[in-house]
Amino acid sequence: MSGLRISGATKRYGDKTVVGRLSMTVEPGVVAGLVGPNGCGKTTTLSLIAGLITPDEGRISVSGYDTVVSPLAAKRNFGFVPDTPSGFEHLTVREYLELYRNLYRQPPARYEERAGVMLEAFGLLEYGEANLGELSHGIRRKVATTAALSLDVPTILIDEPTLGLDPEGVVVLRRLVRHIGSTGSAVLLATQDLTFAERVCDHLFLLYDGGIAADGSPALLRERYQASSIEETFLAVTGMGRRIDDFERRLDAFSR
Amino acid sequence: MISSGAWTLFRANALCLMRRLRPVARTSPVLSLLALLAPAALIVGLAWAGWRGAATLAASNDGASTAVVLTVGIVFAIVGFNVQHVSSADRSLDAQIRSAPLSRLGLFMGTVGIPFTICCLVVSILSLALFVPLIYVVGAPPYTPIHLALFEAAIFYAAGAVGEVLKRVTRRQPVALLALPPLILSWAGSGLTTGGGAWPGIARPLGHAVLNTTTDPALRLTGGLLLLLLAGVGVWISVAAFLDFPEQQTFSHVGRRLRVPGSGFGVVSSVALKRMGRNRSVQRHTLFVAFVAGMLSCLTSALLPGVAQVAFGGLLLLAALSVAIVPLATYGADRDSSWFWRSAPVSFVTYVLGMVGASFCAGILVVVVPTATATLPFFWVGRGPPELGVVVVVGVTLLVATGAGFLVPCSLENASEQVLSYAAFGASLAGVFTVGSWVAPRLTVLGIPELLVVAGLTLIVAGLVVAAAFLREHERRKA
Repeated sequence: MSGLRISGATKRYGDKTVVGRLSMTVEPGVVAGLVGPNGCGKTTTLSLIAGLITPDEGRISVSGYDTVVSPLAAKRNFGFVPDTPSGFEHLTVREYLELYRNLYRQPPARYEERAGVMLEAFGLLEYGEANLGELSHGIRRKVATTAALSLDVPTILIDEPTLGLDPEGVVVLRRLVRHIGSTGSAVLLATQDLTFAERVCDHLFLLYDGGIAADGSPALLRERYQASSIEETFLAVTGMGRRIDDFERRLDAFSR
Repeated sequence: MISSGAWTLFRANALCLMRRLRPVARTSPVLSLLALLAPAALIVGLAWAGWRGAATLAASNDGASTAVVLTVGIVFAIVGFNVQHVSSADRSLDAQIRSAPLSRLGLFMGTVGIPFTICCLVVSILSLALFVPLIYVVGAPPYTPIHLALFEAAIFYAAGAVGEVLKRVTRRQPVALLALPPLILSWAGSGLTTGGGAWPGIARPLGHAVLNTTTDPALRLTGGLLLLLLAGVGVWISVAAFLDFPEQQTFSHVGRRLRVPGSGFGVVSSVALKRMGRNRSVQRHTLFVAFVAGMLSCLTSALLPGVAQVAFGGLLLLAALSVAIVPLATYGADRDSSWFWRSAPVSFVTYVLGMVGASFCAGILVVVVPTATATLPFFWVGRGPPELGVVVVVGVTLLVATGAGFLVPCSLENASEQVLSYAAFGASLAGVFTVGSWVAPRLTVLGIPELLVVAGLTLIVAGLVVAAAFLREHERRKA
């Protein structure tokens, strides 16, 4: 019972259903991506898995632990990188990593070794003693990514992995995620960056209107929708292609 | 009971707070020195006041001893409620830490519980500084301060529990109301077992013990106080840490539309004011203070008409101190949108003045409601409006809160930040009133009209607040 399983998860805010009867599985060793337009429920889905909010219906389990019934056991089995960086503005990078490791009660030697390698890869070694509040958004995102990806856990969740990262950081992250997947961990990332998702993910879930509109490997999806890229597939699935054509016509009318 | 995760989180928060004080010390060294000296001065001042008032209180009647203990209880209730109900274990942390394997109790203790308890200890030490000399003078048993401290802690935690219940009820979780009967029953139970009756409950035998008027069995009193404390702490922890917190509705009705004025100052102040006005914590808090002020006002005007005027002034000051969290937190709540104001075509001066205006106006606006509820019963018994001195004191209190909010900013959800901001506020307030009460009589002796002296000193305080705001914002932008 390892990996990540969601069955019939639903989340409503008042009358609005943000995530509706969502079911999906991410097996160990698989890098999966949640892609979809703004407001389709990507971040809500990750927040449900991370235990930040509770589902109104359905079940979510991480490594076999139900996130509602056994939240602590479930949380010990994943690391999470949110889309907003840490709020501990007056802690240094090293102090923040130590705090995060302490909360997970991970052995220091192994964690620090992994964190050291990642900090070096992200070009952050010189920022070790800098306060988080003094760093740019992108660097803080790299710190948050290092904190979570240095954990020895079977599942990794990343919300908007490329948000704020420089091209070098994106390349490092891509290799890191692929490496983590190859070591047998399940990785689920939610992203708007379709190019990144296509290059990194083994499996994509196209979210639309709170549910899964299509899923499969990037190659399978392209083939199914006879598209040359995931971007085209995405537009075909969501029907947004027509809206964009209409927008371009109206834009032309502006310039005349 | 407190997990290592909770301690880790608390230590990280405490470290951040200490580091936040560094730029404050650079910005205002005089105030920092004052803040260091003020607590010691306050303890000495309270001990002196306790010593001086001992003889008067010792000679007073049975009702006075109960009233003294009830007054202490009210002060602790208001402080406990203030600290608890506006803080949030969830909102003060980012998503990465919240998703870490930390139990709900650990998360609560690390962010709200430990700072709340420290706050209780600090206020209790101040209270004991006042009461220990009194207890010594009247010859009460040496364990009486422990009894008093137990009572204060019980009231503090019970008020925290009530604050949490109110927060949840207004977020559509009426089941939280089930936490109130144990608190009421424990009060009545402790009163009945110690011979104080259901009302005023344990306050009567404790009052007797403090003023050494009659000797009630100490063991029975200890038992009653422990019952009260256990109920308060138990309910506080159960509601705050174990009951699921209702999630915020994402699409909620926000009230009247924001109308943005044309001037830069108007834009900054109206946006900041509207933001605080739409905050449900602020609305709940103001209503609670208004309710407490109204209730105390009704009781005083009906039962103690002889001291109505003095009580009225005290009530208004208590209300101003309670709602001071609003001017204190206005600048801190605006931290996340400071990038917007920096990039907008609004000058540095306009922004700072707009924020000072918004903070002070927010304080004035929230003090209006409790003032109204406190005033009406006094008008009913035929007393006039408050004296000018009380109005000035309330105004200066809110001004100082505005200044302290700039020097040590706090947000409405973060309990640790609030405790620190309130400490800075208390120190500044003590400093301002000590200096004011020393300077004012000397200027009046020189023949300067009293009204002019008061106006001049108030203007100086306003000037200091504006200067502190400029320096702090300058420091922030430089960083």
